[in-house]
This record gives sequence, C-alpha cells and structure tokens, in this order.
Amino acid sequence: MLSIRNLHAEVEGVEILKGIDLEIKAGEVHAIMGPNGSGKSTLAKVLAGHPSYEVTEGEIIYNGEDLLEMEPDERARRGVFMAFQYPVEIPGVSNSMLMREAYNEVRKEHGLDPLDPLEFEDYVADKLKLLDMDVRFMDRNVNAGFSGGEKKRNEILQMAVLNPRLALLDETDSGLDIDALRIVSEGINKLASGENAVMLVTHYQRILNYITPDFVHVLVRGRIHRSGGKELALELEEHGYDWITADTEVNGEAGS
Amino acid sequence: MKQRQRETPFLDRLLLSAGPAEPLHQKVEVLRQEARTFLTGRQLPTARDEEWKYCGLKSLEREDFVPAGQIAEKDMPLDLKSYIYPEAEHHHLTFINGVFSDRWSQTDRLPEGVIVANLADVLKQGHPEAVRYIGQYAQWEDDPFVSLNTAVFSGGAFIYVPDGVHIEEPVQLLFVNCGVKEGYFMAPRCLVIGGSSSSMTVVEDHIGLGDNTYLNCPVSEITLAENAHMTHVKLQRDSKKAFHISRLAANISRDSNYKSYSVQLGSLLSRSDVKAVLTDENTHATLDGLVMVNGNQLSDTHSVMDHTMPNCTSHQLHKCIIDGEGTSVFNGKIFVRQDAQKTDAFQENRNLQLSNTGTAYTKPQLEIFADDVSCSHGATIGQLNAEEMFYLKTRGLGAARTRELLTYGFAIDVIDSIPVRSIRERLSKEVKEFTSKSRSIKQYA
Repeated sequence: MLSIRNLHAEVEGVEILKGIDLEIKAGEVHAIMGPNGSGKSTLAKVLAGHPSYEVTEGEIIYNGEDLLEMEPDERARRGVFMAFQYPVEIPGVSNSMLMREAYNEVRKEHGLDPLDPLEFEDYVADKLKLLDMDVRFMDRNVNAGFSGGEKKRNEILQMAVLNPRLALLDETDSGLDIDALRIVSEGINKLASGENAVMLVTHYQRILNYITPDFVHVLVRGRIHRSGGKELALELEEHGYDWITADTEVNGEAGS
Repeated sequence: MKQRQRETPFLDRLLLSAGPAEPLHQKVEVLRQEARTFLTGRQLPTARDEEWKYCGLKSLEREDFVPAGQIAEKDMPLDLKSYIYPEAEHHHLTFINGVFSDRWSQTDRLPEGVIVANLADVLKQGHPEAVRYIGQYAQWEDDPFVSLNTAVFSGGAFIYVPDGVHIEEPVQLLFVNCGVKEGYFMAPRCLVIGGSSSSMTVVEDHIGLGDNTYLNCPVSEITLAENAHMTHVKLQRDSKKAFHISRLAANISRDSNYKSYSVQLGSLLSRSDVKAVLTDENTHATLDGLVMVNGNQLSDTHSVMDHTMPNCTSHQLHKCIIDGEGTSVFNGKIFVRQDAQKTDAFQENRNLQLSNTGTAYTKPQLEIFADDVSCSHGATIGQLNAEEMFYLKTRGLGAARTRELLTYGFAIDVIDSIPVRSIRERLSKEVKEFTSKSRSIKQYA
C-alpha cells in the first residue's frame, strides 16, 4: 500500500527526516515510536501533505501512485487520513457539516451519490456509538470548545466516518485519560481491517496495551533506528529512550 | 448652464434641488433653518479632515441628485412581501425610494400604546415625545450629513414603546430602492423611544434592487429610558453604485441595554457613524459589525462608545472581509470619563483579507480618564489561517471550498448573536453569496 524510500524532508531549511525507508501493507498496524524531536510527527505530516514541510529527496508511492504529486485534499479523497496531534478548531463550521462534506467527497471519488443531511445522520449514528459520543457533538463547531479528550475522540470519529485506507494517527493517545484511551483504542481496533492500514505515531508504549502493532519502528534523529515486533515496544518501556539513543551515538553517528 | 451648476458646492446643489421641505412642526422648522444655515456654502469633508482620511467623497461630489420624492415608483416589483421577514409580518414600515408607502406597511397586532408610524405624520400631529426628542441626540461636530438629513427629511420611522411594554416580534423598517436611471437622494429620519422597562427588536433593512446610483443618508436617534432593552439590526445592501452615509445616535439610561448589529454589504461607498452614550450606571451597549467589501467598494465605520458613569459594560466586535480592490476603514473610539469607574469595555476589530489588492485601515482609540476600569481592545489584519486550511484539506475538501468555509466561519459569529432566526438565515445566505462570487477564493489554491 505504502512504500517510503529514502525520504528526506525539511522545515524552514532544517532537515528533520534524514532518509526513511518504510513499507506498509494492507491489514498491518505499524507503531512509530521515538523520543521528542525524532521526526515521528513530521513523518505523519509529510504523508498528509503539510505545506510547511519540503521533501528534498526520496519518494512515497501510495497504491502505485506518487503521493508527493497529490495535494492534501486529493490524498484524503484517495483514502489517506491523519488524526491530528493538536486538532484544529474551525469556528463557524459544524461537525456535521464538515463530516458530511468530507464523506461525500469520498463517495464522489467512488462514484457514489452524496448523502443528504438525514441520510448522513443515520450513517453517523453507529459511528458515534462506537466512540461513546453524544449526537449533540455533531451540532457543535469543529473542535471549538472541546476538551483535549473530546478533540482526540472527534478525530477518531472522523476516521470512522471516512473509513480511510491508510490512517495516520499522530499521538492520538497523548493527553487521554485511561477511559478515553480505552474507548479510542477500541474504536481504532474495530476500524482496522484486512483492507486498510494504520500508522500509529506515539511517544508512549501505553496505547500498545490496547492496540497490538504488527511492527514497531523506533525513530531517532530522523532515521528509523530499529524495527521489530511488538516486543520492541516493551523493551523500550523497560529501558527508556536513553537506552536506544545511547546506542545511536555509537552505531548511528559513527557509522554514517 | 451645466458648468455653472458644477461650481455650486454639492450640498448647496442638494438643498436647491430639494426646495423647501413640507412643514411638519414648528420645532422641526427651527432645526431645519439651523441646518440650512450650517450647510450653505459648506464644502464636503476631504482627506485633510482626520475623520475622513481614508474616505474620499470626490465621486459623490461629482453627482447631481434630485429628491427621492420626485422619482416615480415605476419598475418596482409587484410584490414586496418577499422582503418582509416572517417574524415582522404584522409590523413593518416600507419606504420606496425614500418615500413612505402606506400600501406596503402594516402595523397591526401591536401592544396597546405602541406607535409604529411614519415620523412625518407623527410630527405633524405634534406627538409630544416625538417633538421633544427629534434632533436631540444626532449631533456630530462639523458634520454636514446630519444637517443634510435634518434640512430635507420628509419621512422615516417613529417607534414609541410605552413604559413596561414588551414587543415580542421584531419591527422591520424596509427601505427599498428600485433601479431607476435618474440619480436621487433620500434622507430617512428615524426616532425610536423606549419607555422604562420596555423591550423591542428593530430591524432596519436597506435594499437596492438595481445597480443605479443614489445617495441614502439616513439618521437614526434612539433613546432608552431606565431598564429598557433594545436589539437593533441594520442590514445595508444598497445598490453597488450607491452612496450610503448614515448616522446613528443612541442615548442609554440606567440599567438599560442596547444591542446593535450592523451589517454592511452594499454600496460603492458606505460610511457609518455610530454613537452610543451610556448616560447612567449599570448600562450595557453592544455595537457589533460585519463588513464585506469587494470590487472597488469602500466601507468606513466610525464609532463612539461613551462611558460617562460607573459600572457599565460595552461590547464591540467589528469584523471586515476585504476582497478585490475593496477598502475597509474602522475607527473605534471608546471614552471612559472620569466618573465612569468599574467600566468594562471590550473592543475587537478583525480584518480578513482575501485578495492581495484590498486595503484595511484600523484605528482603535481609547481615551480613559477613570483609574479603575477594564478595557480590552485588539485589532488584527490577516489572511486565512494556514493550519485551519490544512486541516480542512486533509478532510478531502478542495482549496476553494476550504477558503469558502473558513471565510464563512469568520463572518458567522457576528451573525449568530442576532436573535431573529430569519435574519440570521438571510445573512448566512448573503455571506455564502459573497464567498461564492469571490474570485480570490477560487483563484488562490
């Protein structure tokens, strides 16, 4: 589904990603871990097409097409979804309005007729249940006045509505209390299927108690320093990031 | 002949063409005489006048206008009903090209003692309150436009709500202008008197049906007695070639609450001077505004919020959307006089520039003479927020749609505070129409 090859990206002239290689296949869950500033959120943003990041080298092939050639909205319509680390408040635009339009864009892409507000209300009802959210959330302006937890839940609600092929979850777990974390994780698990893939960016191992990754990648200073199975996350939990960064000083820097 | 006429100053030309106004009341005659004396030989303000720095009147000066009363009502749509808000079905006054239309006005189902009528008729009958308050509050130093209105007005609205009376449904004042070729000027005068503990909602609607040139120069005076509540919505959608120069003065007594929402969409040049005087304790005033300019429109708002006594609050959120070669000007003065301790005043002016060619001027002006007050003010000029745009794009919305939604979102909070549903819906439609016509929104990805 997704092939990232030798990806270099910079923001305001500072190189953040320094050669990422990553293969994600349908049905897989990949956890991207790493210390603060390692570039893991940058990776998610570059995949979503954030205009502040410039790709200077390498390529991203998504379902056989050059992802970097697509505008962010085109990526979204083709099934790339990003749950934001800091969801943006949109004044004056209601949740239901945004989600219906977004969903209808996806339907249009698949040659389906748009849903009218009533049909959409029916469609979204199950998704709200999945995330234990009140229907009144739909009438509120997008993320405006939401608590931190509500914002994160609202991101996963949008994921549920849009049913993306590739979900990029950028620190969806940070700032969630344990109940919200459980609800959000269960939601993500139910949405994961053999047809789609999840890239989960996280600083903490905690969410991996609920979502079992197929692969764990540890990012350090813009490179994937180590990849492994779910046990790698437990190892990290035990030893902390110092263990792996100390390792880098010797192997990574000296080797390059 | 034409040449000689041009040499006569604009205001004199208007007075000359207006001729002597129909006598209404002895006091009005005195005011008119004063106004004529003040105007004779007077030139229009120029950019050298601080208050008119960004609002040139050269294009106005070039025009020759005849009085609105001389324009026949031809080309009017057969049915004006669609311009009446459903909530105001039973009480509205309609003015066609500035002239009161009995046929399209209706004032039934009003509580006892309430008067909603043509001001000219009320003055002729010598209604004591109307006579007492006319000309008392609309006073701007060196300003020719109040005087012009006083000298020539031949009608307008009079609204009187007695003590303790509450009008549930809004009263609509509809000023319709049809697309006649001949340039004309109109000067409607409105006087609103709210008795103590009374409440009302007034909607003032200025509509241009054609794209013709005219001058609309309304003056409104509002006085609220103790504990009176008034919501005042003004929607200006005059013709895109019209000149709209308005004056609004509100005199607000103890415990009373005046909320004004002014939306400026039309006119080539609109200039709105608003003054709210909080005359006693525990008073509140809101002067919110929404301005949208496109093409070569210019919209200038000058406001005065005058806190004279302690424990009063005021709120002023003024938003401008500038597209094309449009210009918006905001000058918001807040006075907090020496006695006005514990004043809580809020002012914010936000300008959203959609095009690279528009201009925004903003000047918050606070003059505070009391020492225990809370006054916050802010002014911003900016473009659409890049993070918000990115967020919407990641949801599959195209660049143009993203800009359209965010522009709508920028405008909507002023509209959302308006208490009448059908006005909110009308305004939402106007905003959507503005954004859907915007070339900048379509162009820049």
